[in-house]
Amino acid sequence: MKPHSAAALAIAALLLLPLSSFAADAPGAAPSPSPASPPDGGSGASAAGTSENPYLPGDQTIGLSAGLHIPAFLVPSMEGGVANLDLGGSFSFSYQYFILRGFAVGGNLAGAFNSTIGGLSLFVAPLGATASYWWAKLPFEFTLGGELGAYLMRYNNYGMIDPFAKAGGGVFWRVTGSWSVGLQAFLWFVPEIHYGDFASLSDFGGFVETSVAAVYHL
Amino acid sequence: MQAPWRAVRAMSILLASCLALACNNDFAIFRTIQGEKKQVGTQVFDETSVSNVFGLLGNYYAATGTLNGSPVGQDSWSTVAIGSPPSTNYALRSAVLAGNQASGTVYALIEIGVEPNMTIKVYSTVDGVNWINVPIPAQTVTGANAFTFDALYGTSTNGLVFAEGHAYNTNTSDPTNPGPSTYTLWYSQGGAAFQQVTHFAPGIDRPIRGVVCDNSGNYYFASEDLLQMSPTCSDGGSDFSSIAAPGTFPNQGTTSTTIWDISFTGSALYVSRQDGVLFQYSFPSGPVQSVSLGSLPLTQVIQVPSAITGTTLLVGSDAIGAGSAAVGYYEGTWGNIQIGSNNSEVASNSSVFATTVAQFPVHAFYWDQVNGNLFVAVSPGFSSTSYYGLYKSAWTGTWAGWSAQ
Repeated sequence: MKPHSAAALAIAALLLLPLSSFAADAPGAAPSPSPASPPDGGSGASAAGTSENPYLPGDQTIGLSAGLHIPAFLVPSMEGGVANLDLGGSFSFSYQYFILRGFAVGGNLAGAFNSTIGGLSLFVAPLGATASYWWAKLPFEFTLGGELGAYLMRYNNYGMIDPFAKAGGGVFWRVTGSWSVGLQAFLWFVPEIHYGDFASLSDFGGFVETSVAAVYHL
Repeated sequence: MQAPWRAVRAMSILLASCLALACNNDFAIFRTIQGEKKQVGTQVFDETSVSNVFGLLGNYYAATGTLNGSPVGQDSWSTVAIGSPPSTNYALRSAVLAGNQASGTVYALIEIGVEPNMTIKVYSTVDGVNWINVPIPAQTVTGANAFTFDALYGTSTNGLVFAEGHAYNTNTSDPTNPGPSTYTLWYSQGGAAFQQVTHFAPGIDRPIRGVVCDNSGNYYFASEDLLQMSPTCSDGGSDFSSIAAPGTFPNQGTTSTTIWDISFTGSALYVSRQDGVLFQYSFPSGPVQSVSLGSLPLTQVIQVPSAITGTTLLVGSDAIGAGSAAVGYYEGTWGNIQIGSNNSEVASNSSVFATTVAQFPVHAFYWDQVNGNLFVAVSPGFSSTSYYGLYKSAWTGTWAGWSAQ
């Protein structure tokens, strides 16, 4: 198994961790012990000690993240394959608005870069609309979500603009009433779509983003 | 109400234009990345400029600050000992092959020692092992009226070697404001002492850009003008005091149209100009044609096999000033010469071109037709990525693509 694929699977397993909490939080699940209150209140405080979702309609967050960008696959694979891309870095800025209890929509702007085996670099900058579900066992918070949008890709002075999607989640610790920090992981779907006479050049790329994130609850 | 719609329409056009400019529908990014090859060369050429490359008998030679040699087929490079007795304790100014790989002579212009006790010598070898001293005029490296050999030029036909003599004409009354340099042309054959080409005495005010010999036996000399020299190549050591027919060359006399290099390959003479214009003189009586290839100075031209068009031209590109932009080389048949990233047969694909020579000035090509090896000598500069001064592509009916030496 290639290192990139192994890393991608490990990250996928990490992504499943919040699901166990999500299952426990689901209606009909056995009640869990009351979570501790966050240190200085906030919307999370109102739900402390209960299993009720603390994220109410009208709540807003902004988030920043920085981390690793792991090449997972290139389809179709040929010659050097995805191993020709080195481990890279990523960053993002996001805004979310809760329209239902626990359910938020928003936007995300990100950037990621990977160097190539020949010494060049690949840069991908997606911009998209996000939808996510949040729940908590305070002081821990969990989220699963996805993004749809478009990306700008640059490589050796060549560029592409194509649709973009990503899916994943994160685990956060409510440090204060306003701030949470945690880890998140997303699988990026990066289709490189060519049209017309060049349709045969179309490929599909996948990357795993693992990052440290900070979320500010407005 | 029309003004807002106009603004929206203008913004839409602007956005669409930006998107269109950012999108290269004809270039496969992921596929190109998958085609990249890791380049692992030898320490000898890591971030080291190579000024010339050629072969003699069973060895290849590449000129850096020293002369480096490798047996054909082994890609195992080491410093060549030069002199009598041979030593690796020298600094190489210039090295060339005069004649051909099977029966030619290698000439090396070297510095031994350092100022103020530096000596400059020219050695030659026909077997790569035994070197003989070729007498040269007195060299005065420093001081008023300093004179020294700057570079050698080998010709392919009969083993004649030329040298550029450089007189500094130092202004002794104001050492910080030296007078203009003048250049002279010298030649030697078969180990005889260098003699001056009297036609250019006492000197010309522009450096020599090259001396080549065509397949009809004529020499061509490029500096401030293109000159055809006779007697012919077959006359060897004759003095070139007579110029039978001074050639004319378009638009000479201004800096931007200065001749940058001169090549003879595939039955045609090519004159490369500083402003990116390439002239082709077909022989014996073909037309003189020109093509503009960008704006960077052009260097050596070489014709090599092509699986697509039978033969193809490689046209080296230089850079003006250290660290300035460079594009590697141009490739294609006359009338369809494109930048190497668009026409990458010799590199094997555009990603190999992009990750080897694409960003660097090209100084020389060497095509070993017998063994099917093509070399390109470049200035790789310095970067966080290891780039090399010498790359090779092997021909076996198709090109294997550049690999670092």
